[in-house]
Amino acid sequence: MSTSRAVLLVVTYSTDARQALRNSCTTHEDVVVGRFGRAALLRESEYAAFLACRLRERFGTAVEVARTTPLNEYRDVPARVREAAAAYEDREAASTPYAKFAVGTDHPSPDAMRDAPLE
Amino acid sequence: MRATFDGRTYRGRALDLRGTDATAAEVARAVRDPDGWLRCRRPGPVHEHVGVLDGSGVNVERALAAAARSRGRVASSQAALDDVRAELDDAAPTVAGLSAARERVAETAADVERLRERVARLGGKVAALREAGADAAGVAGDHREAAAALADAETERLAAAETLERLERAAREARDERARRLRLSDRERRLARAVRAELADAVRSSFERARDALPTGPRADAFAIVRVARVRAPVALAGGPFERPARAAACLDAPVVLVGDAGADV
Repeated sequence: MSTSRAVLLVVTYSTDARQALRNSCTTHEDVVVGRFGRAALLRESEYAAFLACRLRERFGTAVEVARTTPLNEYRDVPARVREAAAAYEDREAASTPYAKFAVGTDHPSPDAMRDAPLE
Repeated sequence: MRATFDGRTYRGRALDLRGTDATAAEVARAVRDPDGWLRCRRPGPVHEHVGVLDGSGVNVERALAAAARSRGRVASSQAALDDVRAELDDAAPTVAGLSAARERVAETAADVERLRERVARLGGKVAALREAGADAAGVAGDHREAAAALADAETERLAAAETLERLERAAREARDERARRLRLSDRERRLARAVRAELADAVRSSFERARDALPTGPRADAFAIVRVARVRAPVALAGGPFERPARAAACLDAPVVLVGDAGADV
């Protein structure tokens, strides 16, 4: 896993927390990878963690912090899932739902994928 | 109204305190103080905007909305705004113990890791001693003890993970509810703005007419708002442009207390 590309996802759930996150992002733009309204992605570092921990201290449940990494579908996703996605995006009728599309093919059903954790 | 200031009593709809050292701020405080030296009607929301006419800026839109309310105007979206505010009155849900649960998960995982290493090390030692034909009984006892401690630690770790999972599910729900409240508070702001705009619009033409009829100057907006509003408690007017108190009360259509213009921007 390439830790240098890992990011902290910070999502806020109150107006105060949202404002504090906005302020943090404005003050520490060098840490910010992306801003999305009441959420932000921070480039992972001790400093980013420090900012996230401060928000957590102040706002508790109103702040959610997740450690995320980019998804490499060739490493993290089973081939059958990847191939199903490619085949479905290449379908002829745009209106066909995936569940119907998968019937009678080797592609996994939505339910089968839902119940299978991503290793 | 009736005022007792510096041992003198003043009565009427327009009081002239220009001869005293009373300030507009003091009058405004007295208006709000039911036990103060100024006996008068209680001030309404309009007073927050134009209770003191000392030339300081006034937010015309908000003040006009307050003036419209004082005239009994109700905006069409007021009921929707009240509903949203009532919903927002309930406290936002919080989940206690999340931080402690995360800490416990980290601690128990570290314990398991430490004990695993100890069990492996002692197991290796036992094997080496036996291979060398030496007495391994003492170390084997330590090994068994460590293995038992490891089993306990693993149970603890599982329990900690379950607790954290349960709390995270609760936090997920709390955050969904908080997300809903965030949308609601955005809606509250939009509705409040709409209510203000509608109320201000309702009295805007009266306001413009009043402004045309009143003395010009930096306080023209504030004067016109007082005139448009239904004002029962006195407004404090520092300095000019009215010479006679009765004329000020008539022009502003409100009870007034005139004070000296020291420090007023007239």
